[in-house]
Amino acid sequence: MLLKQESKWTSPAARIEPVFLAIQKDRMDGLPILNPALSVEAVGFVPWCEDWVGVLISPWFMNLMLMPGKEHSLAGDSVVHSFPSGDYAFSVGYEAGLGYYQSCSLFSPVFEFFDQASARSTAEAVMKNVFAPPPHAHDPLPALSRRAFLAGGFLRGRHGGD
Amino acid sequence: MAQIETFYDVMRRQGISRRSFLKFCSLTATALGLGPSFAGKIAYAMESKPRTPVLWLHGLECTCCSESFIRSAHPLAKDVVLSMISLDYDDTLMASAGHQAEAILDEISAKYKGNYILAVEGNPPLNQDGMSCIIGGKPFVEQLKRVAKDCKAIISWGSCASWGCVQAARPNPTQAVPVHKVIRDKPIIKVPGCPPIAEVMTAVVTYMLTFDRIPELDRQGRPKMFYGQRIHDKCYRRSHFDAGQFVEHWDDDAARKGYCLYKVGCKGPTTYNACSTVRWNGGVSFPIQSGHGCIGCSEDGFWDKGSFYSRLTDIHQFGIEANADQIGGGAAGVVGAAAAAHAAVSAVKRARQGKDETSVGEKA
Repeated sequence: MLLKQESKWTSPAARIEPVFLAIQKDRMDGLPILNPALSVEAVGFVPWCEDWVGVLISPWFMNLMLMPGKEHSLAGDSVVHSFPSGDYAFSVGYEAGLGYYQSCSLFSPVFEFFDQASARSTAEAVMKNVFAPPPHAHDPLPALSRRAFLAGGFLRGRHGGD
Repeated sequence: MAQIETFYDVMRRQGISRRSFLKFCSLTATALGLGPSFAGKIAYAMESKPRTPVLWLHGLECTCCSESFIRSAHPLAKDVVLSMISLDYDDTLMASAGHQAEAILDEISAKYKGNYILAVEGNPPLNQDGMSCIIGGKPFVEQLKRVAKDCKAIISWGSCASWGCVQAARPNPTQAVPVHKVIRDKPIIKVPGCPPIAEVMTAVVTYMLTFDRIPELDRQGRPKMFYGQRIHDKCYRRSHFDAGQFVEHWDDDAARKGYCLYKVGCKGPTTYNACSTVRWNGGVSFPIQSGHGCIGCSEDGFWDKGSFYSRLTDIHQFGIEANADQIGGGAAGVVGAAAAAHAAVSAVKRARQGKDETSVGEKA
């Protein structure tokens, strides 16, 4: 479906990790919001449409992260992306070493994780959940058309009970 | 069969047109995060169910909750909701006064025994037999207990009624306590904030009146639909936090660039509220957007947690355990595969747009 593999693409995980390690050392140094049990790790990045999506774990957040594929820019305002499980709002970030990327918060701060292994397995489970069909798959009620409204559908049947 | 009075009857009597009424129903459905189809359910409930009276008591408070409420962004919502509640007792808004007003309390308690909603703004002081807050010549705590005895549920408006707020801050000379410390045998819905967001107040009261039940609450008794996320989770400056880009001093270059306010005291990472999504003044802005950190006004005991401008140091002091039901069990930690799976499901559900409609409104 939406997932596709192309060998000419290389996962951005190896590019992301050093950048956020440097951020941790330079800008986050000594801040009490860091969980010392965790370290920067990019988990489960897969190609998705024209981009890459995965989870980034750091001692101060765990985000769903979107990295641009080849010759594709993610600059702009915050944007909603549709995955099989539903819609997620991403905000845009910029780092000199990475360019524009988008992220959607999962956890922050991250003190509920006692070790890297539990954070990693949570991140892996997140990826599964995001690409799984929605838990309560049911046919949504259609929006009321003007015709249905004029015919009294607004208060009848499935819309209002009788 | 005796003629029942519905909310719709009341609204029509107050001069609200059918068109406005239907528009209100769809606005409410949107505010509650429900699909457009729920507008019909709300309309049906309001037309067919007997009106539930609301009594609105004021204890030790500053009236900012009422101020927020009557300034609900959409004038229509304000008119409709006020016509639903102002008929009964609200000592700030009602027309009656003195003995006549106090008589309303007894009349409603008797006539609608077990079937009215009690909204409480502010809290009762217990020291010196409650004499720091006297209503109609008697301590407020007595009025509160008397009216709460026969109510169906209580809405604790604002941080005063929910947690205690400034009058309960150390050393708390009047021994002001939140409503749930005095009333223990009724369901209490806490809508904290100083004040709470107008749209949140309107949505909570409308939900309860139309669907005749209380919204889903978290462990602390707050409606999950509005208090399920931290300010930080949906903050538009969040990417600056992630990238370690912080305002160090007021009016530095980082402040002008709109970087994260964590280092200058923002309590967003530990504050559960809807400010960063619903925002204020009709969705125009919220404190962080105007350049000031969140002061955490909807959290328990926020006055006693240090300066608004000192950096959040002890995260555990505030937030984590407050949300324990979302991260899997009493011990607020993720250990083992089952806990990781549960944490992932909760996080993804939290991050997803929109609300689950399946759990809402079936009984309407």
